[in-house]
Amino acid sequence: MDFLMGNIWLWGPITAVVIAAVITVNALVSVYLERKVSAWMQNRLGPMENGPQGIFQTLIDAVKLILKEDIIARGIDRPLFKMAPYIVFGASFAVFAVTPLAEGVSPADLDVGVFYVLAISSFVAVGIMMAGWSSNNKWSLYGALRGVAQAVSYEVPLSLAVLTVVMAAGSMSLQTVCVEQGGGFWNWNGLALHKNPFLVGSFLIYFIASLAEVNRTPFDLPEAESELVGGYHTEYSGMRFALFFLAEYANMLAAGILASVLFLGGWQPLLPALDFVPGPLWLFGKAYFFVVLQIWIRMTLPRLRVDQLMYVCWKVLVPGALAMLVLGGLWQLMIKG
Amino acid sequence: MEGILFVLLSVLALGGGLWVLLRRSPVDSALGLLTTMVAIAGHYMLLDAPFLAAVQLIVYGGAVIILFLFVIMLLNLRQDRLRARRLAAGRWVYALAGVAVLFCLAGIFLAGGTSGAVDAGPSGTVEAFGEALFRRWVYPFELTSVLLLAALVGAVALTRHAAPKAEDKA
Repeated sequence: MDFLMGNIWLWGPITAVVIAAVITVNALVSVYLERKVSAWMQNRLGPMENGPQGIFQTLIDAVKLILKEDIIARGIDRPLFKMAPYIVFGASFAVFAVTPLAEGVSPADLDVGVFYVLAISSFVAVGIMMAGWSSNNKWSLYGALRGVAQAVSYEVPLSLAVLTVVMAAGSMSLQTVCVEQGGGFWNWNGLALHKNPFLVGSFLIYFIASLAEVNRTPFDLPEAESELVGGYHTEYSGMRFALFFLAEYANMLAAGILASVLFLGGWQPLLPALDFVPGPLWLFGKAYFFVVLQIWIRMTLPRLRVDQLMYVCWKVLVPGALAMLVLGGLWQLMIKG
Repeated sequence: MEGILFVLLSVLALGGGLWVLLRRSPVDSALGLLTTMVAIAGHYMLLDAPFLAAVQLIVYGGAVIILFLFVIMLLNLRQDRLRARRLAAGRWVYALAGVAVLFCLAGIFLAGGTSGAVDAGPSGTVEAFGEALFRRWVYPFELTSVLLLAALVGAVALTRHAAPKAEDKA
C-alpha cells in the first residue's frame, strides 16, 4: 500500500479509474433508488420489468443513452457547447480525490482538503454557465442564470457552515476531521451537543445549502422541467447529456460524503465495538443515507420561487451560519480553552 | 517534471491573457480570464502553496462566473459592435492610458522591487499563511477590507441615486 501511495504515476491513474467506476455505479444505483423510493412514497411499484424488482432498468437506460445520437443544433457556440459537459463532469469527478476512506487511507490527503472541495466544486457553475450560454436557447440560458445565481449565493452559507467544523477540528484535512470524531456516534460533530452545540446548527445549514448547491428539490430551479423544459441541458443529447446526468448524481453523492465526513464522523463506526466493519462501508452507508434523504425531500417539498430562494439564502441561512460561526468560535475559546 | 509543468502553465496563463485582449466577444474574454486564473492556481501548487491555490480558484473562479453573468445580463451583445467602433475613435486616449499604466507598474517594480512580497514561511501551508496575514500584515489586511467596504457603499450609493430619478421620469 505504501509503495503504491508513494508512487504518483501508479497511484494517480489507479485512483482516477476507481473514482470513474464509483461515479458510474453510483449513478446506476442512485437513479434506481430515486425511482424506487419515489414509487414507494407514492404507493406505486416503480420499475419492475427488467430483472427482479427491475434492478437492471437503469443499466438498460445507460446503454440507451450511449447508443443515442449526439445532436448538435445549428446556431450554437460549438467549442463551448462541446466543452461544457466535460467541465461539469471533471469538476464533480475531481471532488472525490480527497475522500477519506479509512484511517490513513484516502486517494489524496490534502492539507487543505475541505477548501479544495469547495474550490473545485465551484467549477460546476462555470460548466453550467457555458452550457446554458452556448446552447443559444432561452430555456437553457434562464436555467444557467438561475443555476449560477443559486450556486454563488449558497456557497456563502455552505462555506461558513464548513468553517465552523474546520474551527472545531483545527484542521482542513478531511482525514483529521474524521479522526477528531472517533469513539462512538455521540462524538460526531452533527450530534455532539457536549463538544460544540453550535455544530448541530451548522449541520442543518450545511445540509440545506448543499441541497441548493447540487440543484436538488426544493432548489431545482435551474432545471425546473415545468418551466424551463430541461434548463441548461435542454439542447444536449446522447453521451453529452449522460455526462451531465452522471455529474449530477456524483454531486449528490459528493454532498453526502462531505456531510458525513464533516458532521457524521466519516469512516468512524457507530459504536467503538463495531470497529471490525471496514471504514469505506461506514462512509458510503452514511453518504447514501444523505442521498436517500435528498430523494425523500424531493418527494415531499414543492419547488421554491426565485425570490424565496434568495430570501432563504441571504436572510436566513447566511445570518444563521455567521451566528453559528461566531458562537461556535466563542465556545471553542471559552469552554474548551 | 516541474519545469515542463511550469512552462505549460505559463503558456496557458499568457495565452489566456492574450485571448482576453484579442477576442471580440466578451464571453470569450471571460473564458480566457478563467484560463489565466486556473493556470496561476497551478503555479501556486507548484510553489507548494495549496492553500493559496484553492483561494485563487474560489475567489477568481467565482469572480469570473459573476463576470459571465454581467456580460450576459447587462451588456446587450448586439450593442457590442457599436462599443467597439466608439473604442476605435478614441483609441489614442486608450493607448495613452495603457502606456501610463505600464509606466506606473514599471515604476512600482523598479522602485519597490519585490520587497513588498509576503514571505509565507517555509511552506505555504494554512498555518504559515495565517501567521503572516493575521500577525505581521494584519493592519494592511484590515485596511483592505475597509477599502472594499468603501467600494461596496459607493456602489450602493450610486444605484440608490439612479433609482429615484427613473421613477421621477415615469
